[in-house]
Parts: sequence; structure tokens; C-alpha cells
Amino acid sequence: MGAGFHGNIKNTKGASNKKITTTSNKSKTVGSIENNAKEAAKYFTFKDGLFGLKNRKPKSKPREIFSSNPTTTALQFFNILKQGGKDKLFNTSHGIGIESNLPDGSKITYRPITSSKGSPAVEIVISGSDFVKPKKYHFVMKGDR
Amino acid sequence: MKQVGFNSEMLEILSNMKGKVFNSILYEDDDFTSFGNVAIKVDDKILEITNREDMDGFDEEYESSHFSCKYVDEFVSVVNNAVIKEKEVNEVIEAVDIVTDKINIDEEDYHIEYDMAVEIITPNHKYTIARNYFYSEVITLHIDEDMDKIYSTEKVERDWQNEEETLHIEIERDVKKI
Repeated sequence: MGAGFHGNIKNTKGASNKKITTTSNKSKTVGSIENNAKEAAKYFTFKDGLFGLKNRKPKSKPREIFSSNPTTTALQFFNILKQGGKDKLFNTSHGIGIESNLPDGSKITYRPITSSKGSPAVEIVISGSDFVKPKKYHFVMKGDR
Repeated sequence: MKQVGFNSEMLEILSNMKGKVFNSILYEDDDFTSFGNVAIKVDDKILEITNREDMDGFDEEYESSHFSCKYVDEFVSVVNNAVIKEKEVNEVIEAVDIVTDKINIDEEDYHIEYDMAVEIITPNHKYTIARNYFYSEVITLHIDEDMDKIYSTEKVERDWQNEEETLHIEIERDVKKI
């Protein structure tokens, strides 16, 4: 079971203005990227299998989610998506990252520090459902857009 | 056309495996995958194959992942405290193929040749060491599965598509013997 999450996602672009107050719902099937993405879609903009907004740079592929606290928001996003997953730490050139493996075969990573300064990343590496697509998300300080 | 993956020295290392004994595959995850790196033992030497995010110049600002390989004295997983699994093979390598996707997106001026898999062919089986989604550092391992089933070109196109617009993406998959 993944860790619970608390916090606000307010006045962000690519995120809804809803307060996250719930911990993981034990009545639902956990460990499914589809269920977890549906939960995340309550708080983050979600359309056609993707969260957030298209990157500002025409050629850049990671999508962007804007927040007044990118690190907190990235961790909240990751914690929702990884519910029911098993975590492991991995090394990157910027420090430690976390990969979470869900029972449905989905794999999700969280990198608190990336080569893009101040912009943590969450990546749906392998999706066990067509409901949500593999994609990389960078979390960007609100006002940078 | 930008080439992303094994350089000429690495391709020579892989090509030189032909005729040698493929002892085993070393990986870290229970589902026959490995995050960031795997190793294959060939004639009792350890060849590490990595798929890491350390490429410059691909996406201006952001990293992408890509294959590389080198012989090492010891296999060390990029995953902390990983319990390494070993799949025994013990067969002679007859051929080595590289699966490469050529991706052309004219609107974004992307013209990339991306190495997506190494296929090691023995008298009895085909062992595939594959990548998938272009940012992914996960390596997936397969026995007797075609790349079109592992990661189809339709999925490659889906993953390169920019969702708010419909890009014209051309993907050509080559399997070349080395």
C-alpha cells in the first residue's frame, strides 16, 4: 500500500483547484494504474489519457504541471499514481529517484531533482492500461509560464 | 539523422559475441525487467547493457534514455540494495541483431534513429533485451518474442505524438545483423 497524501493543489495550471484530503481508499482495488489515474484526475487536469499541459517548447515532449510548490505537487501526484505499488530507490546523476511497481505491471518513477533546475519529474514508464498513456511530467513553478 | 544508441565500438563488442557461449542474463526485478541496467555473461565475462538518462542535445532541456554497453568486472545494479537474479542460458550465440526505429517528425524537425533492442540468437531461442517509451530507463527481457509484440510501431507512434495536435509521424523499423 502506498503512503497517504495530504495537501493543497491550488491556483495551478495543469492541476485542479481541489484540496487533497483523502488517504488511499481501501474499498477500491489498489495497484491498478487505471484506478489510480482516475483518482489523480480528481485533482489534476486529465484528458485523453494524459495529465497536465502540453510543453511550452514546441519540440519538448514532457508535459508540464504548474504549481506554487512543484516538489510537493510532484510528490502528491506520484503518491496517488503509485498506490498499491512496491517502491525501490535508484541512483541518478542528480541523486536518488524512486520507482514504484504496481501489480498490474505499471511502473512509475519520481525524480525530485532533474537536469531542469527546480523541476521534479514523475514518469509513467509502463502503463498497464490504455486509460492512461506512458508520459513524462515536469512540475514547474507557477508564473514561469 | 541523429543516431541514438550503441556507438560503433559498442556495436563491435556486441558483434564479437557471435560464436561465444551466452552463459546467463543478470537482472534485478521479479518480472524479468531491470531498471537502468542488465548484464549478460558471455564466455564468463560480464557485459553490462545500460539504458540511462544521460543524453545531451536530444530534447534541448530534458533528458532521454538510450542504450550503451561495456564490459565490467562486476555487475552493480542502479537500484539500491537490488537482489540480482540470474537466468541461465548456456547456448552458443549464432547471431546478434539490433532493432532500430527511424522516427521522422517533419513538423518538429525530429529525425532520429533510435536503437530499441538487442536480439541474441542461439540455436534454440531468441533473447531480446528491449527498451520501450523513449524516456523510460526500464529494460525488458524476452525469450522468443518479436519486437512488434513487445513494443509495436503503433505504440511507438502513440508515444511520440503530441496530443493537442496531430503530428505526421513516420516510423520505420529496421532489424540489422551485426
